[in-house]
Amino acid sequence: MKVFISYGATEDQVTALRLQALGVVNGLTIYVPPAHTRQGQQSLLEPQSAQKLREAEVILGVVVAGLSQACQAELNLAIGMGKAAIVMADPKFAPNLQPAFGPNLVVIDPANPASAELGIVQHLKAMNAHQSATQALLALGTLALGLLIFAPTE
Amino acid sequence: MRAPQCTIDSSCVIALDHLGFLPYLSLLFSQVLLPKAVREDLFKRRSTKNRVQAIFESLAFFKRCDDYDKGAVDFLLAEREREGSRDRGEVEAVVQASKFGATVIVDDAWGRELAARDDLQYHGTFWVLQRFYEFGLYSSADCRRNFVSLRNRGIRLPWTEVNAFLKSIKELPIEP
Repeated sequence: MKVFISYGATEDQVTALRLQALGVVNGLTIYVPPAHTRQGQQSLLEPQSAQKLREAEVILGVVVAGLSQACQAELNLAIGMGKAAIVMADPKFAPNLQPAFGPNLVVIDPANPASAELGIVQHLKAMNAHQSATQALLALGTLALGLLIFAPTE
Repeated sequence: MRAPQCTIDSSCVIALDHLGFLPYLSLLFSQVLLPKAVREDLFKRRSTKNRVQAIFESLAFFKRCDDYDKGAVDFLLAEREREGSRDRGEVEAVVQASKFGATVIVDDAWGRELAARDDLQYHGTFWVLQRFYEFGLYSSADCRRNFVSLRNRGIRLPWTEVNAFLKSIKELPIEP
């Protein structure tokens, strides 16, 4: 199963890379765009990112430290292509993301992580995707939730 | 809780980059600090000349680290030069780790001795590869293949310990 992880800002890449490694352990092939795509004001997708996005069956967005134009472009393209996707976001980015990603958005409230887990499950139930895609999203979403809540940042 | 950081010496960067495992360091550390002398060492080698910039461009958790006690480095380096070596990389790795409370990833015996003197946590490439194996990133057969690949690349590792580890995971030893 091919997965594309779109992360909001350079600071979010470490979470994406950890998910990539944990995905490898579980037999997933995960692409994480290089850090330079989040630097500056790049709004156009890099050809390699666009290619990997087209090939991916599952898209996971991780938007916690910031929301770059490249990330927004990747997620817009993923939704536009009808990919199985979840965008996990810090509450401060929810207003920006809600109009474009609506039901695909799962807001992570560190004070109430159970609501994010419930959000993932509810979204997956409503999603018309292959079982392997929903399983991958559930696993990655849960891992991301754990990493974002428990990983030390300072 | 503080995010785990490490400084890293050039031989470890070369080994892990050779295997394509630098991104996996994110499982162990939130930041990997690359001292200036290590960057310069990598830059002057033909095989790694272009890799330094590529690492910074692709991996955000690798950071340049130039803020260190130059006096301490010069003092320790003078000690090293008396022994006939001028490699500044491991000295900067240790001094910078001391400043940031970071772990030192270093294979060089003197660098490890310096880190121990400063009561720093220190490990080498072998330890990192063991951790990756324990995470399940590769099978025992691939683990052996990785060590063979490093040997063929001319990377110096503690082969007696490596072979003891390979035996413990039911793999054949490697001819050093």
